[in-house]
Amino acid sequence: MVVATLALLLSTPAVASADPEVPQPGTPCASDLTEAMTWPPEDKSPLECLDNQWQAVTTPQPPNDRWLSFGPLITLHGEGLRNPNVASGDWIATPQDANSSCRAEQRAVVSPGVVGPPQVTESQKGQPLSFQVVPKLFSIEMSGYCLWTRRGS
Amino acid sequence: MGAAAYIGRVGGLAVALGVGTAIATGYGVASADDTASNPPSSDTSTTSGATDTKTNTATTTGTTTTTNTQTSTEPSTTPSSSEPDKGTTSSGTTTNTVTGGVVVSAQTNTGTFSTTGTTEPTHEAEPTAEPSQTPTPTETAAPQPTQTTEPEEHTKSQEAEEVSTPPSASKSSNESGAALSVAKPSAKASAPTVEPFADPATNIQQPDKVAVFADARGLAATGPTNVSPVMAAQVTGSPVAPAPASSPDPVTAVANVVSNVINWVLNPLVGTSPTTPAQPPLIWGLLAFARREFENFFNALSGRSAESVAAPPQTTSLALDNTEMASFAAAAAAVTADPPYLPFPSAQVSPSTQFVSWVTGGYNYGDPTLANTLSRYSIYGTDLGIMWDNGIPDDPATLDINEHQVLIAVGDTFGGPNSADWRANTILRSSDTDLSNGITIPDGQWYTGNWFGGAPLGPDGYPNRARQVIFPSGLPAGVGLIPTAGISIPTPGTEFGVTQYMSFMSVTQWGAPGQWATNYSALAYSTDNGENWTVAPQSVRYNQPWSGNQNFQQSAFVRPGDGYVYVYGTPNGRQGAAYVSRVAEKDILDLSKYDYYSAGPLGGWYQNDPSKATPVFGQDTGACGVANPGNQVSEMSVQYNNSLKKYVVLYGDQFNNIVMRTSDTPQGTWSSAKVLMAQQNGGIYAPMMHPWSPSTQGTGTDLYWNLSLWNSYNVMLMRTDLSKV
Repeated sequence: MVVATLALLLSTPAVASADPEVPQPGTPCASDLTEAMTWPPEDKSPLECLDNQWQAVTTPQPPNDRWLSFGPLITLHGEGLRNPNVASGDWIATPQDANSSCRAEQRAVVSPGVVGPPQVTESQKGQPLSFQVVPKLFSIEMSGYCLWTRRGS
Repeated sequence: MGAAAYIGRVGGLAVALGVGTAIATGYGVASADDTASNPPSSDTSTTSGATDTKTNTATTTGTTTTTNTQTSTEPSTTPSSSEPDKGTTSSGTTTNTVTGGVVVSAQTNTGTFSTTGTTEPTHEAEPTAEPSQTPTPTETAAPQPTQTTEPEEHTKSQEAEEVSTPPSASKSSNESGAALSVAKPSAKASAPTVEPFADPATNIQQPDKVAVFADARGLAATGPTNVSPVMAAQVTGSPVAPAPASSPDPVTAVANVVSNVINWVLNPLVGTSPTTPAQPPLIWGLLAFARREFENFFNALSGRSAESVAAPPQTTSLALDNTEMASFAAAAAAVTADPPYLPFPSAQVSPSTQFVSWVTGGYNYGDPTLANTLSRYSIYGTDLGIMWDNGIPDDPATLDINEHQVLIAVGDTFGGPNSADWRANTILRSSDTDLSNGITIPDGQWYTGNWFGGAPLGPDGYPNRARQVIFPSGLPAGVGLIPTAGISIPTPGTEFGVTQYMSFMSVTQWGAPGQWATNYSALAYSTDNGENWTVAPQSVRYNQPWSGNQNFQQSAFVRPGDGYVYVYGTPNGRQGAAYVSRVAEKDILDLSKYDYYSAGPLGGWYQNDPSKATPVFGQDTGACGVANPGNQVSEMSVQYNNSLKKYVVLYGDQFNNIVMRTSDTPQGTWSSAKVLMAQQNGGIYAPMMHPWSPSTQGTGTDLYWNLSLWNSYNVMLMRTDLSKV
């Protein structure tokens, strides 16, 4: 009995401060994340938290005002491209744990076919990040374990 | 092997059956009939499928050094014998009289040609003379100056045929790309003409009620989406109707009857004798042998190889060895196999429509000229795929180049996932006439002086990158320059005698799916087969709601050969209806020369007043009208279909279905919308018809069209059998 308990304890992976597990379709999500979206790497379409589950969306979606990044960057498009994922305006990124910082790297459309240089904003660990999504956003890379919310939404 | 060679085998078969049966059953002597059997007719024709072997040899070495300079010279046409629109005024009033030479085109909502002599209203704004035909060496006859335009001229199928005649078969497989040798199944031996068949759009099909494109969130929430997108694509597609059963093969039927007779004859001998085992193995072997022999015999009569026959498993399969079973399975699999990189749960997305292959993207089909655009053109993703005939005849002097091509305009183009290698538009080219297995696009031509490579390349230092081709100057900036339509018009005196015109929209901001704002739409033109384009500032239509030009922000062109180009328009986004205008071919860049169609009792063509245009389709009214398929118009394409003898439009509707309408005239009355395929996971849009489709040419019933899929962000080729719509 003792040996079994010891083995169990030893086999339990140590909890580190690594990024949380990237959600998959069907995995649970917290109720306060309802209608938030995230985009697992390599997936063709995002996931949305509905009915306490991450659910794959299968058609183009309107711009969403709440996105969850799980650590690795997720790349979203703005109003400079067809079917934008996010709308321009004031946004705030809230770290989901004390050790996370939120980082946004935006690139705006200069003219059709021309993308401007990246604009980076980043918060301190555990601190929220307020920033503005530019009107002609080409792409935004969000990283850190953070919930990104468009103000006024 | 000729069928006669089987005569001896038939005799041998009879002997084997007789002797074998006697041995196996132990009683009953079968005597082989030594009378001459009826030999098969020696008149059976053998069909040899010609293989279209593409043996293009690139001749791109060290020739002319060229530059990708912009051509600013406007295309010009030779003087016309009579000026259209001369002396007309745009008073906005209408009369009910027909003046001499006035073009009367007020097609009322009858859906039939007005050839009964009824007088239609005439608008003073009408052109007083038909536009003279733009001089072309092979074009259709010029409209008569005093002839009314509609409806007779719209029925001249031969005109539309001549407008977009595909390349000759002798050169059709010769792409102008790099050296390659590609064997493609032949599908060119179709009859030159077919009888028109029933207009499929006359039978109204009710689509499944699904969420609208803009409300896809709700759709996703209620759909079976608790799986990964990949899995979701496999399990949540629209119901797929089984492919229609093929007509029974009489030869196969005869073979089956013979086999059944043998079974019937021999079965009483099997297992009925108390002294014999119930299922003597030798008898089963004989039956299997006999069946195979008869099948081979009749296959030889029909000219088919035994391997090509997907023989259904028989109850006597006990006698079949593993090899035969494997061959049956392989044959069955070959019949039902879906093409690679299937974007939908099944290639057959509806009873009439199926996926053929990807046109763009990094998909590799073995044939390097099919898709494979990432390595050749740095096109990881793109959309739209608007196609038109370049109108340039093949030059027999250039054996390795087929100048007669289809130009394919695409929209926002990216070199990788989330790549900043972004082009707002570009052009692809193809001479492929066999669309049954996809659209081949030749390799590019890098500084060879050849404007017929697979795409304009550049900039310098990027020989494997399709470059952006539309660069307006002096116009409001935006975030997108998206092609919406293209057409070629003969312009003698230019480099190739033809000018390419492309309509595009300047997007200021993208919104929710199906919503975007535009600055303006405009035309760009090219006299070098789409290599270099010039934006015509006089063609700009600003998106101003009081002007009427707001209804022509996206376009579709059709040029039936009556001297006019018909230009359809929709507002920005996908929530509007379709409108139509027309302009003499030579005046396509001059907005003041356009006529706009207004429906209704005082309807007709109004010159130079876009605000007069009224919807011609896509705006159903009434309590149930908004729920009708086809009630809103997205990206669209219009053709004259020589098989249907009607104009055809394809577009995505408010349910994101791809629908089709037909009409006898460009302005309508258009039929109700018929759903070709329902909304699919991933988001489909922009059905763009291929001008060399057999049905378009009048040589078959297949209509090929490009379709964009959002989540894969690439263009695929679809095929619709109009006889099954």
